[in-house]
Amino acid sequence: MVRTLSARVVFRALLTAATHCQQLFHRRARYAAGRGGTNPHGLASGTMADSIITAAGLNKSFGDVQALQDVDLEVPAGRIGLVGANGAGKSTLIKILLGMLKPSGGVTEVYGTSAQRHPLAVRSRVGYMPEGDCFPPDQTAADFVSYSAELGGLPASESRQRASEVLTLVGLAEERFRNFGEFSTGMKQRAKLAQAIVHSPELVLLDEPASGLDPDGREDMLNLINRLGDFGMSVVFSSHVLGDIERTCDWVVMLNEGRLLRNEPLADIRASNAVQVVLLDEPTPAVEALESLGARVSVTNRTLDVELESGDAFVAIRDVLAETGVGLRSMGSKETTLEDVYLAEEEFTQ
Amino acid sequence: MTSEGAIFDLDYRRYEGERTGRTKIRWAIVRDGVRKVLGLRRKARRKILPWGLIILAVLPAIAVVGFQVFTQGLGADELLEDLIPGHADYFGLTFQLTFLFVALSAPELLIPDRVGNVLTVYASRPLTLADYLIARVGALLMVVLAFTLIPQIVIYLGGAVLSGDIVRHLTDNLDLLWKIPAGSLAVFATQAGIAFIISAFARRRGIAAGIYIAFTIISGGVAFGLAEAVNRWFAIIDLQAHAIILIGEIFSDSDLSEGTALVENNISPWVSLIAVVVIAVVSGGLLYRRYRRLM
Repeated sequence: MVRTLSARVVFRALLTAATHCQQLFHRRARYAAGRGGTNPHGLASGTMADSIITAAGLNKSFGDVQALQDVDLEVPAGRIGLVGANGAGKSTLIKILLGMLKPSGGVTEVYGTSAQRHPLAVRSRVGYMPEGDCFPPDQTAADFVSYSAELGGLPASESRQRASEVLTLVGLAEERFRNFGEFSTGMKQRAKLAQAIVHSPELVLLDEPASGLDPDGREDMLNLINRLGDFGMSVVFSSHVLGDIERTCDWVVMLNEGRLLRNEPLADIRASNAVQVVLLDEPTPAVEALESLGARVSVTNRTLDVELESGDAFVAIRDVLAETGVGLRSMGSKETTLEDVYLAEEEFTQ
Repeated sequence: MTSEGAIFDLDYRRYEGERTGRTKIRWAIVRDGVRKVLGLRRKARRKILPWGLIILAVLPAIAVVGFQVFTQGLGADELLEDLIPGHADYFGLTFQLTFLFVALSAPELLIPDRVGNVLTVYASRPLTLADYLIARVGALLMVVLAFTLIPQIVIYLGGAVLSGDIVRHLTDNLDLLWKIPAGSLAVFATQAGIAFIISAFARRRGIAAGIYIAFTIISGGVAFGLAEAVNRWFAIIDLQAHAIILIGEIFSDSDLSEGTALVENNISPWVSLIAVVVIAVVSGGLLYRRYRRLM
């Protein structure tokens, strides 16, 4: 009995140490990558000087419908997820960033250039993948992507070569001489991505790139988006599928009904103060003991989410389990999903 | 022989070269427009109508030159001069073909981009709405000029070769070097504006072409009727006649415009010139206004 208890205490101590190390590592990694947030010492890093997208007091209305309301934004380079339900204002924000729509109020800058005053300068550095179809059905993918490259300012001779390379990259090497009219939804999505990156932009704005795709197609598209970051391109990826954003992005901009809910690193959103504990035994004694310490505990079967206002939750749980003799299966920081955050924020705003 | 192999992942190669300016981008749109209209890099069936019309426009010119070759030694030059059509006559001959060609081409240039949402791609590139529209109009201008000029060039060069003294023939007919393009421009200016406006609103190419053809034909009939019944100035509604009158003026050939509502009602050729300019300017303005909402 004594041996079992001491083993549990050692195990808990190791877990606590591992969790703290993990949190410190996350902070260091974010700091090193210049993603904002806090540095390892908990100080503001000031990396917003490197923002690729900024918006201040951004408003856009279509008649009575307010698509964007007082959006202030600073977004660093990287893979940025633009999250929100349908009608949240994601596409509107993307079009304003491209200078395709004029805001009703406020300003936006992309790479320090005003999207409203110098839209052409912005567009020469940005690629855009629209949500809907954007192809003439009677043209081949090779011809259209090559033409798109020319529209992006590449010489005709280079455009042809690059179209071929990019179509190969997105997995359309075999199909590049087929007309768009013969393309499936998945192939069209890939071709849309190809036209968005063919002119070598520094930033790519992807509006719902995975919509309408089957699971395999979605997987392929997410992998492609992940690779864009490796090619030195920043990506703004709009989606209402939060899981896709979690898998792909390192920064999240969350919108709801035109308002900005969150604009921060995904790791910060995921991190929470709660500790998740999975028990081997009946949890009631442990729950009662934790609640007597002022902890908020939510119970699902034998899994507890424990939040403590003050003090170290790990230490409190360790002590409570030792006192009550309830067996521990596992313990660690609870990772919040984007869905949790989104639903909580949505509930809060309502 | 080796059993070793290597897989090369081409990866993504950034373009580090110089970027072209808007002029080159406009030219790219013009080239794309010309390909669209002529069905180039498209399936064979997309080539049938434009190339069929081009062949129909050029064949008579070749026949004219061939006829001249055949009759050259017969010593009946004066008699044949009345039979063989000149440049102005040839504009008259091919006028309806040009009209059909424009009716088919203008929708091809605008409708697929708009209906297929391709405008989004243009809107995301470093070019303005004016760049796009100017380039599309430029594409139609190029193909219409080619359509009207090629047979004229065949006749002109044919005449030069048959004259026996090419240099003298060319110098004697130097005025044709501006008259022929000016005639082509008159045809384009009269027909393109309205064809573009209809195409800017229609969703199907066939319907746009049909509406344009019907509108133009009906305008001729209505012009005659109203000019006779109400006021002679209604004759200016006869859209096709303006181009014919201008060509007649350019080539100093009044026979060409005989029978049109404008001539029948003694409307000055200057009115036709003003009408053509007004049609072009108003069409351009309407087109820009329409597309400003879309792009």
